[in-house]
Amino acid sequence: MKKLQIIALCLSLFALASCSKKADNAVVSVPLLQVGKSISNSAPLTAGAYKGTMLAGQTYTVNGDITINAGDTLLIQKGVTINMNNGANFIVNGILLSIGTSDAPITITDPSKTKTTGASLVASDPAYVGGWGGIYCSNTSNLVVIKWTHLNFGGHALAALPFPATAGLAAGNQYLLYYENPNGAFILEDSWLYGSPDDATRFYGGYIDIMRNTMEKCGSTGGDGFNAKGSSYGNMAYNLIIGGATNGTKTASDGTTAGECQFTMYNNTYVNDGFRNTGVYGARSGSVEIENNSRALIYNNLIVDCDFGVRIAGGPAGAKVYLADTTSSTTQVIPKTAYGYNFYYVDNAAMAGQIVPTSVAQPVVTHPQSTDIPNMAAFLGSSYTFGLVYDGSSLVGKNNPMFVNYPLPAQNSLWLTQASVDSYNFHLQSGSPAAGKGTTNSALIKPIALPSNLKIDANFGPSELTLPGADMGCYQLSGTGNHH
Amino acid sequence: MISRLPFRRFLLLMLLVLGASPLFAQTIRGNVTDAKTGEQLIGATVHLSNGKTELNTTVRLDGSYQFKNVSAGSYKLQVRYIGYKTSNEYTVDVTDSKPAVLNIALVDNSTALTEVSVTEHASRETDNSARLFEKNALNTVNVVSANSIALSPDVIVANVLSRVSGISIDRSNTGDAQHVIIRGMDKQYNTTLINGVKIPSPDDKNRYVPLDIFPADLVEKIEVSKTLTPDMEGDASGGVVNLVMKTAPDHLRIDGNFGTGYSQLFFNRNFLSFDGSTVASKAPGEINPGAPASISQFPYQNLVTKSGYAPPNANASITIGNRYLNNKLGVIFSGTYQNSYQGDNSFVVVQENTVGPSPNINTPNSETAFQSSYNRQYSSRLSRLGTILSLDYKIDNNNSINLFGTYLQLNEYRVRATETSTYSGYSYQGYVATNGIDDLTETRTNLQSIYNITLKGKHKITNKFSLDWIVASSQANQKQPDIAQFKTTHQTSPDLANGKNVADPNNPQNSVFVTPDIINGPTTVGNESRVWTHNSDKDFSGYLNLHYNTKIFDRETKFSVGGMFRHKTRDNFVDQYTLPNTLIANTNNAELYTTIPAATFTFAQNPSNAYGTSSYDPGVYTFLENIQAGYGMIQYFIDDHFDVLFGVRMENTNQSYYSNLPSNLVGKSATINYMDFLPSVNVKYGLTDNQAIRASYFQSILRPAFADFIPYPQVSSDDPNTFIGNPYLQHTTIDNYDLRYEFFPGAFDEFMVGGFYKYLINPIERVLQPGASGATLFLEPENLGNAHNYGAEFVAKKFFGNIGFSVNYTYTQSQITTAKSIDVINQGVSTRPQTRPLQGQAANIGNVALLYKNQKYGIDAQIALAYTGERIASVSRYYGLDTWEKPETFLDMSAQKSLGKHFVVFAKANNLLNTPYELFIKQNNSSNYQGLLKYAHQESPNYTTVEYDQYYARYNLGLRFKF
Repeated sequence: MKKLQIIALCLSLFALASCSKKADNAVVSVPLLQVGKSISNSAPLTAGAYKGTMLAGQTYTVNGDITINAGDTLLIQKGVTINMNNGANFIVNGILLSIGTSDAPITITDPSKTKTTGASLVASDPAYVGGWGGIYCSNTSNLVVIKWTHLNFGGHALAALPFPATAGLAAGNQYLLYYENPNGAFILEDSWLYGSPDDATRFYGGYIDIMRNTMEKCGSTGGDGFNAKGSSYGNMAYNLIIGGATNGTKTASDGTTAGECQFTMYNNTYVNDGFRNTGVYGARSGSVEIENNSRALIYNNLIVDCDFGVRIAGGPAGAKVYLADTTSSTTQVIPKTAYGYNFYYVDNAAMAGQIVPTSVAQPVVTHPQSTDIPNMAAFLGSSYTFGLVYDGSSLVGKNNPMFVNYPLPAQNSLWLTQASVDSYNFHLQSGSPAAGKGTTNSALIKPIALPSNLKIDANFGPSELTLPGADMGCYQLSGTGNHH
Repeated sequence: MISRLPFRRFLLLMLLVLGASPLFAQTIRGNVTDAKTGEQLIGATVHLSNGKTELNTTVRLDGSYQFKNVSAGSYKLQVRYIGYKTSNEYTVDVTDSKPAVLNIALVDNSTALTEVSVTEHASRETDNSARLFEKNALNTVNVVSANSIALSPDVIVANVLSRVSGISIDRSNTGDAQHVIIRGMDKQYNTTLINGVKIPSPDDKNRYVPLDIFPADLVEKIEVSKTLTPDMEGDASGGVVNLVMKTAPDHLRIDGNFGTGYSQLFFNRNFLSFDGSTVASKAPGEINPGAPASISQFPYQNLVTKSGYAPPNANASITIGNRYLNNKLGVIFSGTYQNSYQGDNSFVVVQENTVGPSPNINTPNSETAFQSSYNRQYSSRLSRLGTILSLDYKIDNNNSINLFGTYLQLNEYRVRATETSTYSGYSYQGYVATNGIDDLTETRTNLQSIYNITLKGKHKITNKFSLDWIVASSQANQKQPDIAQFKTTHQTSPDLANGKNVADPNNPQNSVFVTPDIINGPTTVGNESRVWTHNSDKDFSGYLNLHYNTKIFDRETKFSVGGMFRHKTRDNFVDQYTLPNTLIANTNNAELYTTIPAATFTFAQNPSNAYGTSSYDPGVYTFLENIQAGYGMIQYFIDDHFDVLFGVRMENTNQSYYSNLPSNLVGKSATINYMDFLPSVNVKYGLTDNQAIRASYFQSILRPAFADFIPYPQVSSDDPNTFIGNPYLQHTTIDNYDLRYEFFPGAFDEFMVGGFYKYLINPIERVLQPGASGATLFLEPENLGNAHNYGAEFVAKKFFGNIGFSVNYTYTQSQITTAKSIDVINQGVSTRPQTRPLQGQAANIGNVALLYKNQKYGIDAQIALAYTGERIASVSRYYGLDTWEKPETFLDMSAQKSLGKHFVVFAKANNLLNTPYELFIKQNNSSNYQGLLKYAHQESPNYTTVEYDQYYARYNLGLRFKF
């Protein structure tokens, strides 16, 4: 095998060398999309209905809710900064496009708050307060595309319902992103979410594509990261989720007539998740949670110092959860929940004892996988039954994933307080035991395809549905995956 | 029902010597009844004299009196009874060959107001004194008299009502009956009147009046009309409860009672109380609208509770009445005060929106695992004050007016101690253990009051033409200042070192971790909640009725026309706050709990919490309603046995509301108008003198509750589901058919059997519904197609001298078919029709009572059994998963003994069986009932118990006096 690789390498070097006519590396500008009239930033925007374009590189001040009416489009061009005051929200009944670029990202923030680094505490870190509100999309919103956008300090409590209640919204809610249209699409790519007091997202319906994002400090003493419910379906891949209060990615079918909640979750990196939920539900928080008969495909994730491993749980109607785990339907987007090739590193015995979650908190139906690192199927043996309590202390400190810059084993319970990336670097070093151990077998895992009315597009769709990568976690040694 | 109000003045005396018996003639006997209602006047004194001999006896339990071994001669006979006018002196001749029979119908001390209608009745009551009011009434009426109330084991009106045939009740968490369900028609289908005038409700959402606010002491009698005539308001489809308050006597009357009592519950556990004087009467958002509140505006003092023995209950009432100015002016005052300590212990499983999936559409889902449950202990101090003042003035024989005022107040000071268990997946002692336990202390002050002022007049213009009118003003208020709840939490975990994995007997592929002991985490302070609400409902109404009596084809005919209006204004206010707890410095852990005063809260990380919800809360609204109605009806006596009453009523409804909803939402305000024409026919056919058949048809309506319109999700701590109103709700119209056969074989024996059928068009039921984008469920009032409700009623009374036996039984069957969800695995949610009874309707309702009266020792006693069969408590969104209430049998007892002429001691005991209030779901429960992960309070593998409340027995002891 090794010999074959060397031969192949030599051959390709030869081919490169022999190819004298190589294309010039030219970056050609493309015209920026503009929609309707431009929106002036000469005065702060007051509460009202808006459509048109916020112009590239401009700074806007917003003092009240920005409402996009059904049928209207609001475009935010690259490099725009929007300073949101008074807990203002985006209320989207039409189309919202926030198209930043890696060179000129967009920032939506509360200007009164600044980021902090190092140990993060709920009582003092402004990340958990909720400065501006959120992006709340009603069931007439057909498309939301957010690319290369910083969403900082969102989650101010909704003073009142932004639109008639149809799914899961109530006054007082503190979400950052909310989407519920079963016939629409919500695209969040290459963006940053920093801080939220509760669940950072709530998706109740539609095609949802969440790829290559970084999420820090979401949830104060409760709240999940990317939380999908209802009939929403799509992908959550190549995200870095650090310091989340409860779960990093979560799905739950809450009994909707529009279908079941189904997601792929692959090549995500979860670090220090599940430790700020100090209430009784803290007994149920960790990295990935699949509950209430939702379905998911969970592969190639790198899970480091999280309270729980991948957990397939029953939700409130737990006793029947077994059905959800064992039956399959070929007519569904995801015929059956499946998982494997996930990589775990833990720094204490409590976490080690929940790599395959026990039923102490709630009945679970998680099968230990032989493809996981460590091999939990072998570790737990053939006598394993769902929910078994086991002693995992021998797994503590094993399989250091070798991040480029993050101290493992972590000292002084660092996982409790380090909730942001700061100057750390969660790329893998070459030689990491997580490198190359993932699966790219499309029979096991591939992204859920776009619905027929959506295309790969620079403005009106995702830029790329990144396929599963062999290096576990969100950063591929090849440089693909998460670009942050 | 103006024309049949019980304001009677004239002594109506009917004397009837019934025929010949060939036996010995030393006996004088007869019956004594109420001239209007025909009810037996047990305990009335019959005085017999002939100058030499003076004999006294009292009327026995069967309504009869008897003087045995009276020597022949001519006697004077007179009857006296408290609350009634003393009868004339009658002459009775006793001969050797014949027993003398004298039946007397007394007239109560009512005012002069109903002179006209008494005359009307009198003209028909020529041949039999033993008619019951029920027998003579134009419609189907049940009457409970003051005497029955005094004799019954009940101290409030609602409990009395549960003894009437066809009536079941629902209870508040003090164990008192609160609302009536009449013949399967839930509380919203029934109305409450005081002296014939509809009164507003202190309820913050609904129209129906909580009947536990009425002390039984003020009430002279209760009339329950189960069918409507055109002169009655058309929004009572189950029935109308008319509380007839006490009226002025014809001579000085002073009576009253005082007593004490205790609840078995507080022999078993401590009573919790708090200092009501520390409650802030206004919300911070009311004091400074729009400004943020500070933590100091939420004092902790009213959250500090005290645990100890409950003091004994105390109650006292007094009634003073007299007549002045040549008997033209009658005055009566009655006041009552009750201070009682009540409560219950409650276990509630919190039902979730999601269910276990079903393998296919034909298999119902099941709710087999629950996330949490509550163990609650309620301790309430109830202070009930009721006063009435009534003045009547008889201008002349043809004209009279009456001014009536009442003020009723029910103040509740309640502590609710809740232990919330959040269930885990491990096992402790065979039961599902917890991940954590919350302890919540809620203190609540609920101040309810109703006042009503009514001015009435009756005028006989000519012999044929008469009229009556009413002008009334009423207001109901409810204030709940600072419903405050303090919470502590501790986590609970298994002993991982000493526990073991055990195969789950219900689910062999699963392990259950069995712990030998529970490890408790530190107790921390949680968020505190504070809520202020108040609402008021004001009515101004007027009624006018004109009557014209004539003859058509030589038959008596009565024409009536009339009208009414009511102007209603309603205000609701709610302001809610959550006070975030604080964290231990340099950690993310909540503050450790020491005491309530020491707990600290801060708005620093949640600045928006400092603003209450009142600016957008849907509980803040005003509601206006104008109703105008007119009717015409004719009563025609086809022959001596056959009369018919028919007519039509028009009711016009204009409603509007204005709420605090955000202006971007549909339904911030609305105006709603509709007009109904409601025909009614009542027919009575007398088969013989003591047998009759009645038939009736009438149409009625149901107006939606006020809060049912406002389309905004409303979260309440009392209901796990979010309530959302529906401004497109249609009012319900109901066709009602009644048929009844009645037989009065003896003086007071009765036998009635009847049937009814109701067809409901657009009934309103509360349904759990997913919102347009699914996921979250809302409890929404909806028009659910059409429903049927039919049944049969049976009443029998039989008296054997001093022992009486009465039984009533109602069978009701209602039917409604609606689409219910089935969550099928791999398919998601589909629907399937399910047919079920209406919410709150029990198929079987029955009462049995045994009465005993011993003249010699002055003893009365009663044992009463009330049975209500199973019924739906709440409708599930899922097929077959409705929550049912278990059948209930209540056993109550009362006894009294007279001490001399003026005093009676009495004792009452309620709920001797400690009948639980139990809710359940009809589903396979085997995994909750057996195995390692059992839930508390499960009784069967065949159904799941989701609520189990116990009120325990209550005892009362007292002394009544009359002068």
